[in-house]
Amino acid sequence: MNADSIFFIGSLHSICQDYVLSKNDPQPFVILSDGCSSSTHADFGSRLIVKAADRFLRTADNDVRSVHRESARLALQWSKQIGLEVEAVDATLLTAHLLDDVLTVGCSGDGVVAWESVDGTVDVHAISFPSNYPLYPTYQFQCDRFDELLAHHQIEAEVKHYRRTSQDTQFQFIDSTTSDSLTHVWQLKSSDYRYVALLSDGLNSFVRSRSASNGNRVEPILIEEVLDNLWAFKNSHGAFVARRMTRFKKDCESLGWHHADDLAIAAIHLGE
Amino acid sequence: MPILNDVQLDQINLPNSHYGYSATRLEDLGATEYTLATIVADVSGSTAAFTFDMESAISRIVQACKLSPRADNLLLRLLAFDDSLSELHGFKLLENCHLSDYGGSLKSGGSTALYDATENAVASTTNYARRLVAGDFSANAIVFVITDGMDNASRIAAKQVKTAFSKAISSEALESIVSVLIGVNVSDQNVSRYLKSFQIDASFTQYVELDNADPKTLARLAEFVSQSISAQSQALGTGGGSRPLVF
Repeated sequence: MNADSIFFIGSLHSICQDYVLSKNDPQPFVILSDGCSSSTHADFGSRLIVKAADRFLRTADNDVRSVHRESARLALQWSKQIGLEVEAVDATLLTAHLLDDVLTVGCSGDGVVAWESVDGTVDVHAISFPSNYPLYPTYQFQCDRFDELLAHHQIEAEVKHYRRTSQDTQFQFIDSTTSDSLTHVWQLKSSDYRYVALLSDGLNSFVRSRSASNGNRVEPILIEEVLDNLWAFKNSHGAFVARRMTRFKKDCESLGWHHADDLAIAAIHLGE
Repeated sequence: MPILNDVQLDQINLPNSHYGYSATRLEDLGATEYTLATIVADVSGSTAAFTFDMESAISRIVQACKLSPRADNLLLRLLAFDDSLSELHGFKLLENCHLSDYGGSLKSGGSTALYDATENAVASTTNYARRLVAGDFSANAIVFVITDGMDNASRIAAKQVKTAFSKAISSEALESIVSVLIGVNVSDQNVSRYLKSFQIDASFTQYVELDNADPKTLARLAEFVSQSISAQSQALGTGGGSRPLVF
């Protein structure tokens, strides 16, 4: 087993607000956070919540909701200690960790989770908030902000499921569900899977430039098409995620693709 | 058979070639990118007087590369040639290159198959880079050919060396390739003219000429080679090659 991660700043950002951490000790685990682009110092917030989750995941059982809740609480405490604004920890939290043969994946806020089974099927779940107000895990400790959000916005998350059944096929949209859960949790038998990955919602921000009669036109690229190009791990040792993403970024350049938002990915190779 | 290889290296045959190469298995490489550095040393009979100092220079190069901040991103291959080619070791991580192995590694004698050795160095680099790229690794390369004389034993012609360089570039497996032809102990004007001509005909990036092969000069050569390797490695990711250093 091996965990690895990498993040890139988006073309429209001046500071990267995504952050990831991957560790292999005592068991492989990965943590990802995406700071809210409109909140001040959310780059600090994403790092703080990842570091907080790092503390709890080392000894975590399968209660990932508790890990996310306590990580949010600790990150808020740290941010207050260093004098950051209340909105600094407006950041998502995604984790994947193992306990014996149980792989637990959690997502608080928006983001993308994916896993590839030993038979080559890849399932991807993209969690988004149609209102554009993601339900950040710190809101459970900020009642006034949470009430304000509830009063004015729809806070249901939309979970879109995509699947690719083999390397020779393309990703297809399967279905979409809604949920008002603060933390979305999946539990899988790890020995049935080859890879698990967490990705930030930067995956949805890919665009391509096309020349038109009145100048260049920018078109969004469907997540299925992005995944078709991205999900192709060649190996599993060392910096396997960094290698894949570096190559993918080069491929993007030749395709004329850009990602406007920050992009982070963390993955665990679980076995063959 | 390589003499400084360990069992972990893969033996790879090159198409249409009498001699292949060996290289670290991709599953043993952990980084995202590598600079493939090859040193090709002439050990024909005329080099006998400075074989010991050349070995010392190679040891210094390896030592300097080990201390480079890019050490984890370097793979070093060492070739020796007279009328035939010997791979002293294939593309190895610096952590697996042991300084004590290089003492007594060069045996001088025989004639000079300069073109064969250079062509193998370049073709092997291209072939291994293709494998690296297929595994999502990024790669660039630097090749040093150190000789004191003119080819008199190759099976191939100089133009095939140029073809090998052209294939290295057109393969798109290497982000860039820098090649340096180094004339050592060149006191004869005919040899000097020949090597300058070979640089142009084969399209080496740079030609460096040393008029002697004393310990001090070869120590400077070691410094030049290690710094050039480091510069090329630092250029990886920029899309271009490093600027040639002045000897």
